[in-house]
Amino acid sequence: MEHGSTTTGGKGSLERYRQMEAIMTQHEAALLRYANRIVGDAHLAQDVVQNAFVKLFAGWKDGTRPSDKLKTWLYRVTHNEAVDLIRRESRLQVLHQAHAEEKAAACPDGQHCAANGNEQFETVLRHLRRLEPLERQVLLLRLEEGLSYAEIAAVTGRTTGNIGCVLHNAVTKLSKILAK
Amino acid sequence: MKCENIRLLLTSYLTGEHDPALKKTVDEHLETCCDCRASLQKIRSTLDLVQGALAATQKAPSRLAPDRRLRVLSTRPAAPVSWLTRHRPMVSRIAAVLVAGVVVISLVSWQLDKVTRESLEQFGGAPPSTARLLWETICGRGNMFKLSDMVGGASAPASASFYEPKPVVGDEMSVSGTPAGWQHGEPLLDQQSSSVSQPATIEGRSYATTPETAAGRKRAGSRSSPLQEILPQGDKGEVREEPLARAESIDNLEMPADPAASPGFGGGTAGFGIGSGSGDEEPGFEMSPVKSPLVMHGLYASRRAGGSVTTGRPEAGRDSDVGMGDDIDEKTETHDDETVAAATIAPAPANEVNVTGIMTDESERSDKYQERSWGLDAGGSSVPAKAKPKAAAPTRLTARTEAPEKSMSELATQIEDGREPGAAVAPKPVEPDARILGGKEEDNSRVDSVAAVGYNSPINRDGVPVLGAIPALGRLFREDRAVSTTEDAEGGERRHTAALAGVSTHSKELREGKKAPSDWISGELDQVVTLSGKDITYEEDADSRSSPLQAQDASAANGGRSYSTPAEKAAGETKSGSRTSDKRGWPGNTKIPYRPINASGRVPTSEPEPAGPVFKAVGMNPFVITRTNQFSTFGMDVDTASYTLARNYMLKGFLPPAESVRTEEFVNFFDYTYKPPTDKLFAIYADCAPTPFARGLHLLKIGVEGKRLARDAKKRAVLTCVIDTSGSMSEPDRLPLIRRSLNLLIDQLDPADSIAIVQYDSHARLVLDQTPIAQKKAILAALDSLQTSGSTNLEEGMREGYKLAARRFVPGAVNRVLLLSDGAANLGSVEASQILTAVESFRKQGVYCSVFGFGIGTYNDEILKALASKGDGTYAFIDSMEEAKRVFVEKLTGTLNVIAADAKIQVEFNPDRVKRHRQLGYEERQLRKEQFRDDTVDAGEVGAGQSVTALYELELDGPRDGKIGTVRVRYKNTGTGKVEEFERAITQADICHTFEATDSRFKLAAGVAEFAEILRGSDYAGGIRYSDVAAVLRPVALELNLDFRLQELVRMVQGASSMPRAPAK
Repeated sequence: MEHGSTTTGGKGSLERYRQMEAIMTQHEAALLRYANRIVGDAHLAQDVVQNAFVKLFAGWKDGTRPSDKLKTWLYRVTHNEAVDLIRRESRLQVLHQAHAEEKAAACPDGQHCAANGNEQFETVLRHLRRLEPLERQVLLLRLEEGLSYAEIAAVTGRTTGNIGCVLHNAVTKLSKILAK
Repeated sequence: MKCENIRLLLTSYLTGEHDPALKKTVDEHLETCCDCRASLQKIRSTLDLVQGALAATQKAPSRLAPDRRLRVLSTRPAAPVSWLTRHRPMVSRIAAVLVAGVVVISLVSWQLDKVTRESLEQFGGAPPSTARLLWETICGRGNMFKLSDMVGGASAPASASFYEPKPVVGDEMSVSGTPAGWQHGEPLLDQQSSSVSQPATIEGRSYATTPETAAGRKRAGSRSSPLQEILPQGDKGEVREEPLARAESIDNLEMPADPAASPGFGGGTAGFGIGSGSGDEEPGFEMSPVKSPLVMHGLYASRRAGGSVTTGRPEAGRDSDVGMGDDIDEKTETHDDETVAAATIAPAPANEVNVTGIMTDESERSDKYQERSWGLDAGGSSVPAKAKPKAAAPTRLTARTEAPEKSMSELATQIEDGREPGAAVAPKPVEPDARILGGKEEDNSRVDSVAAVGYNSPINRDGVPVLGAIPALGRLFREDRAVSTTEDAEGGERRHTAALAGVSTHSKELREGKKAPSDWISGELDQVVTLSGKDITYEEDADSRSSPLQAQDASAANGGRSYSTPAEKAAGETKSGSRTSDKRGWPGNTKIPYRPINASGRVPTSEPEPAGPVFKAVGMNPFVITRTNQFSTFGMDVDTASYTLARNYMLKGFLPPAESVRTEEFVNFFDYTYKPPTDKLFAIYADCAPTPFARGLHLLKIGVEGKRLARDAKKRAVLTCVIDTSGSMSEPDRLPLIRRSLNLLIDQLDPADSIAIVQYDSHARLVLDQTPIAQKKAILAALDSLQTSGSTNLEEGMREGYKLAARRFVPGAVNRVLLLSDGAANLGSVEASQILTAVESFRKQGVYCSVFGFGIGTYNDEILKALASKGDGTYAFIDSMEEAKRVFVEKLTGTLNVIAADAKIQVEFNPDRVKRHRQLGYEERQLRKEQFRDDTVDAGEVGAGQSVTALYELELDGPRDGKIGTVRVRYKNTGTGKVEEFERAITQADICHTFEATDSRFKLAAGVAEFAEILRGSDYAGGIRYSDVAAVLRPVALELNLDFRLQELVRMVQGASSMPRAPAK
């Protein structure tokens, strides 16, 4: 269960390789998307997802096959890896942030700036990042990843009802901020 | 359930995570509660926005980079260690317990040692060197002797003889075992690490070795005995440091042992989700908590040197040959000095190399950060190494995501700018004066549409201009809501003048509250409002002709302000333009030639008898003061031809003639998804919200939905198609389209139904007698045989068709004549009225008539509409296969199965709440109040599943309680033949407080109605542009994107501003 997998018995390592390939292909896009949202950097997201997969396959013997918990397990590990990474790099992130703000300040007229077309979306994302980590996690998992409440509950280790509450709070908070 | 509870469920409701029962509850509540609908709307738009933002800004690659992929795929299962790695917390816990035990024992023994020494001092004996005592304690006497031999120290044997063997811990541990470990470590040791003081714990005892000893030991290690150096170096000072070193070692060990204690891995603090119970989450040895400030740098350096963080796998390499206990012992020995651990791993199996490979780049980076965070840690003396960054992480995270504060107001403006759906439709403050002048920059549509109004200035029988008829006045009405002229007893001229000149003054008066807005109107309205609808006669009047000039004079006098509004221009043109038809006596005179006016506002000189399409102009429903007339009565109308016609015009690049636009048909063209009733024949729905198109007015939408019929409840259909095959019908959008349309119809009919075909051009001919649909081939062959030629003898065609229908009359079935024509009829008014009379008499016998118009060129809208109206049938204009599908497939049941005849709606407004009201559209269907209960009056027919939507503009007033009005529906149930009537109150609960909060169907109705009002040049739509309507409709079209007709509508509205009116033919 722990790796979202069950062991059945030995087969060739080619089989294992094929499985790994399949699992990666199936989940990598979603995990990268998710990790990218958390760490905010495509390269770091690659690191995160790579680590998550390494963790998965380190315990993946021949004959292991994915169980239905694999998806939520991967999201959970990816999330933790991402949070670890952020914590590790928090100082650097602060630098990044300062850099980004400098950049934003550099185009006061709001024109000739790279992200000008997506101003509104950028605003939404900025507010999204302001949410509580759990709220953000739930919001992303639901709205972007399309996980069901039960799956989100499995990822976050909370109850399904609580997820509904958290999501509603997050949305209400966002709509209040955005309506200002 | 209460609103608050419902609101909590709305997000789940929208994201579709509800069990059906709860969903039903929410649905039911939403139907009754407008505020909750508003919240729902808000949440929905937020969700949409977030989803849009997420979708638009996602830049993550869809696949892992190939090199990373390869690395992942080359991961091998770490089989032998898997239990340890997976149960690391447990392992660490056991290790911690063991180490703690060892430490306690050594502490005790040290204490004993001290006591003994003190007692010795008391005896006066020479105190032995502490190092020796220590050594004795550890190695026991035998070893010591051996050592002293090797060292050759003088005092050793003597001091040793002082002591009896004490309880010695780990006696069996041979010292020579340690050097063996060192040997492994040596290649990776560099000078940096050895220069740092490294407390080496051996069997629970810590040596605080000096750099010299370490270096010496290193050298000694290769010679297999570091002990010679240690012994002489030992002195009291060194020993005193022991507790400190030990304490550190305890800290270090305990941290990984208990994940719950180290906040980083606990679930709670940072909110990162995983509880401490999640054993599968590795405790992150690469972040290794095994860092006492003392050894940190050494460690760091050694890691660098080793090029590997080792991810806390000291066991990995050694587990195979060292037993569990040994492992922990060794760990105790080396946990402060990971150089050794790293070294141990270095020669380990090949997969370790991989680990190293993966880690190199990352470890370099993370080393850097660790260095930084260590700097932090060093400050927090007693805080475990991990605690600080862990606790700091959430705050820092938040800090990082802090957005620049500027965004708030910006966002607000953006939303105001209309990127947010619905936000742009906030009522615009337009000054009355500006509105009047607004006509100047208008497009030509305004000009000629107003011209049409000028043409038909309605005058009541007393010769008093009806409110809506005086263009300027009408406008003032809408804008100002209370036009007050000072003289109300004076003649029309005077009034015009005063009205125009006094705009500013009276609005000022209004502001100052001098005038009660409705005071002066009411007297006049007493006469006017009772003459709604059919009673209004359209006449030319000296007053309205002369008024513009007067007005202009007045305006010139009035500060030189130019009042050249389109209305006046139009009126002026009306005066100068050639009037060919006498508009006196409305019912008799049915044709009003449509006379387009081009952009420059000139009336093109055209021949008096128009060859183009013929439309009948009707006036606008005026505003009615509720105190004078609180009733609005009209016949139901489910026709949609006007919209299709307009669409047809606009596809060709022209605005439809203003007279062809009927607001109610525009509105009814769209589906408002009312829930059909299950018990009664009709269900009444009401919604009310502020209209975005006029300040201070509410829009009331009343929907009446007819019952749907089950399949077996459908009656047998006996249809007689009367098809126009005159020469004009040869165009592709006429006869060919009729053929395809009838094909659709035949596919929809039951085999028992039957159809007959009569064709007419110059003369009428029977093509196919009543034939059951089962003989489909024969019907299709008959259809194919139709050829076009000759002129249009509608009269004969209708006569022939009705004759056949009467002959083949089937009691209890749907006996219906379908007229399919382009409407070009070479008819005199006498013949026309004869046909209409005949149709009406047949209707009374049970043969009904539905009319389907095709082709626009010579279209006679008026006669076709009159036929359908008299024949109790529907009237649709078919311009494309899509429309044919809609009429003959989707709406067929409604078209064929009339459930209610002579259906009328009466709305009674509560004068306490509604100051004045105006109905949009239904001008031709207006009835007097008393006609509602008069069952002989012909009104509209409603088919199964058909719905009727009526719109009112209201000015609300008074307290917010009490009902707004009552809707009554009265009809003859065609099933039972009985007349039924029922009503529904419009209450405060039906009112939404903002337009944005209303549901999209309401917005759709508002937008469509306003579009129609602009197209027909309504005075009440002055100052509203197509772009305003488009702004309302665009978000609706996005929301209801399944309905392709909506997108089409939005395109029409957007394109309308650049289109000229349709030219005369």
